[in-house]
Amino acid sequence: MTVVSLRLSERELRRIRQLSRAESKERSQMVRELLEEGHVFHLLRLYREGKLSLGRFAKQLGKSLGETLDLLSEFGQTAPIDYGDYLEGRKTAARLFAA
Amino acid sequence: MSYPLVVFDASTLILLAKIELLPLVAERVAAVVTPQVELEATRQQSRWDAKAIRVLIERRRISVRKADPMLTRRLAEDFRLEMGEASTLALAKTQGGMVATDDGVAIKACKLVGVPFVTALHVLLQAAERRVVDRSMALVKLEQLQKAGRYHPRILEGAMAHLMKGGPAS
Repeated sequence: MTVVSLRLSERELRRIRQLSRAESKERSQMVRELLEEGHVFHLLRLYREGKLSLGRFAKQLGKSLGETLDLLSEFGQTAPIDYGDYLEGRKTAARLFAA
Repeated sequence: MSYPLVVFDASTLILLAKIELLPLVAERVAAVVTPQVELEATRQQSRWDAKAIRVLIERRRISVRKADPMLTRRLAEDFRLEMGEASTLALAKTQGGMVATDDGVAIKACKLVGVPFVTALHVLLQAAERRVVDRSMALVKLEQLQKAGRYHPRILEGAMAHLMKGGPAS
């Protein structure tokens, strides 16, 4: 692992101390976990806003598409498909299973 | 006019496998995936859905076809899609098929490019309408899809209303 130095505010530092104490973890481990969770949250927000496709979301998470679908389901994240898309899809679906 | 070809992306393929509807669908439509989607949907062989998809591809219920690489790259760049999503759209566009996707960005791209699309939910509703599955089973699968597909409550209400007006449950 690479060692980096970064400036943190008193508030941020206090938060890291509190969390590491509460979870009995070293501060550096706590920071790494927060970074990882922050990254997931950031990607989730982009996905929710329709700025990231499911495939790109999965790739940036480093997970398979199946795992990513499970993660979205776990977080209860609604798919960015609107009611208009649903109605449009219904028209197309009428041609499915046609003889 | 009927669409002879349904080009599935990995999201819809996985969702239909999860609710165990994919084998029935693959028997009744010309189901196609691109090599990129095949790789994405089956790469984790420890997953049940990946195994189910692999079996259908091996039995040739789902065929694998390459999309135009130039068009795939262009669509990926234009709409910021991953290669699986872009190749699905490219293949449907050049072959005159419909796209089956549960990705919001891919749906927007379909609308802009003029390719018809459906989601796993549409496939389920139509399967119930055509009696590929009976209504009771469709309701069970809708419940399963509610969690995995994460559709907006208004869409689920519409889907439920559609299923309920389809005659008495068998």
